[in-house]
Amino acid sequence: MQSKITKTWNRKLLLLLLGISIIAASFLSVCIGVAGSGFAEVWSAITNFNPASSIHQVIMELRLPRVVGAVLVGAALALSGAIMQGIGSNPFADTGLLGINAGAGFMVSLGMVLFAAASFRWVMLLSFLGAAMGVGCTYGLGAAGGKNAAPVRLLLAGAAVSAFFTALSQGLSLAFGLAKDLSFWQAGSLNGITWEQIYLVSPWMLGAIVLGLFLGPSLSVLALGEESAVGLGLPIQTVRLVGIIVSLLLAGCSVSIAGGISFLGLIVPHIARFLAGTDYRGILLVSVLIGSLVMVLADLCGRMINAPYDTPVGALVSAIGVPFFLALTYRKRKEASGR
Amino acid sequence: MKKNSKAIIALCILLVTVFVSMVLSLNAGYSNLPFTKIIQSLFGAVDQETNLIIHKLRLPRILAALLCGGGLGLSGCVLQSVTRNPLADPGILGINAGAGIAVLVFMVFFPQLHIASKTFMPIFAFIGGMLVVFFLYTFAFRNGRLSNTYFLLGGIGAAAGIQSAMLIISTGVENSNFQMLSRWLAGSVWGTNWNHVLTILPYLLILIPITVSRAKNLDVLILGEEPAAGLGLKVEYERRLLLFLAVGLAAACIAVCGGLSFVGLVSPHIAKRIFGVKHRFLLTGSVLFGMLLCVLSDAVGRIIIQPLELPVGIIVSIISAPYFLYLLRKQTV
Repeated sequence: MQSKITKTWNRKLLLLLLGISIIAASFLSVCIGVAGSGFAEVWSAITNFNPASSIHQVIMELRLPRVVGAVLVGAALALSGAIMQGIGSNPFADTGLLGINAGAGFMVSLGMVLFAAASFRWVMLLSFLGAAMGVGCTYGLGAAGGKNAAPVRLLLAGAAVSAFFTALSQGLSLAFGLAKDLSFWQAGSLNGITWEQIYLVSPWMLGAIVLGLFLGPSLSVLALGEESAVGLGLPIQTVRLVGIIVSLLLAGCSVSIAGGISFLGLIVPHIARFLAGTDYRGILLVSVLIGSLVMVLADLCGRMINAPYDTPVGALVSAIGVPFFLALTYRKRKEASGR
Repeated sequence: MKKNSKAIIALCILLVTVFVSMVLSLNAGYSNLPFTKIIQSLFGAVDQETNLIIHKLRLPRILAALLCGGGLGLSGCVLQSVTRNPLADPGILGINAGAGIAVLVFMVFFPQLHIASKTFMPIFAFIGGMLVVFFLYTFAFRNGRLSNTYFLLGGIGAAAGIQSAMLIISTGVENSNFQMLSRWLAGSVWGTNWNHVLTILPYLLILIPITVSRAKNLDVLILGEEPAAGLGLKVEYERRLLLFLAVGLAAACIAVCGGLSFVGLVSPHIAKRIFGVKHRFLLTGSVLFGMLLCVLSDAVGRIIIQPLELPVGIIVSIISAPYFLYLLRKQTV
């Protein structure tokens, strides 16, 4: 009993700590930038906005939407990864590795070519459709009849599906002269997010995040194994369907504003599992928070590393994520031999 | 004996096809030339303009595509046999990426060596590719033997990581260089000149015969580690030598044409269908199919959206990725 109480306290402390770090990191990120500015200026920009001041403009129109975008995208990608890892019992599930980013990227480039003046609403829809297409191809081709596809097969299929769609969108972008815009976007970048985009995306994202968090208890049961979950009366098919739709919604929305960011959905849930234990309610919530934190920090690094140039945040996240991914394969072997 | 003569006939037919596709490719492009003029221009002078187009613009790039395709096809075939994994390919294993980042480092950080880029680019590419293979080797060496699955998995990871590192480096590059880099990374023979062709030619002329001469050992090696050792093959030595050759081939090609993925994957598979699993013909067949694939893809890339052109790497990926998925479906990992 005693330990249970300390556990819940520990978790509350953890959540509080993460929340504070996110706020601190966001604030830092708003304060730091090429144009300069200090704490006082940021404060006055927020409390007492003066449209004539250029630094106020920079803070309110460039940095703030960017930070809000980073918080949303990080949360969405991490949660989407955590849910996919939960429903597929695939430790390698990630929006980048499963071909979701590439599919969404392809549809968006197609949209840019076919309907050049498409509003952002359409971009969002296309991105979602592309995400569904990408994951459909990967699972459809990687699973090959088997009910539970081996993670390695899915990884390989995902790599090929990604290569295919990336090649198609590269072709489109070179053919229609969108190369630099698109290549930056494909690498994943929060550059140039506007308030309008955030207004359009955030209801969907927040809705999906809340819905996703409600999946926690079901995923905990599913983690016991398919047979036990059926025995406990869990409607597995429904849970999987809802999970997939939620994670696609999250991934599609993120891609539509930030481009393809890989490996965030892979690493964050594993860190969350390390911190929060095996209960998916905890894992999902902690994933959301850590995802936001990592994203805000990575975006800040991306802006500072090579200033005044912007380094795509997706590349930074991948650079951190790959060693992690490789280390995971070692852990998996240990588990397998333990069985 | 009868089988051998069949294979030789098939090789001859293939050789003729490669040649025909080259001639066709010479005609593919923005300015259309009559065939008679092209043939004449190959054997002697016609008018100034035709000569310029054929000898200065199209012939070098077609030869570059031809050589890169051959080298990568062979490299892929060796990699597939050595790792005993039919899905291996210098692109998928991250060797291309490793060579690519080394070339990128060369371009960005060693401007003083650019005068002699013909010598240094392949060397840098080779070092990069070797580092990746060395990493994969240690990564995939588990429980005392080389795990094919982990070889592939490590390759996917390495490719992803290196590609992002390349992006990070290349954002610091100014815009005009960035355009060039992104084209090069996608795999392109656009703008290759005779210098490029001469850069890789010596490597291929040395490495291809050496590799093809190891055909017998490859035949033994694909039986598996224990049987091969039982037959008296120095498995570890042979494997390392062959990997070295495969990386050398891939690196030389990448130094010229950038990240051409999937050529090394697809060509050996098609060759296997025709020539069977004996490496004596399979290796040569892979070379020829690689050449054919690249020359045709390059031609398609030039025709498809005139007056612009698509890099050959994109066309190859679009054709080959579905084939990879098909192979994956058939194979049980």
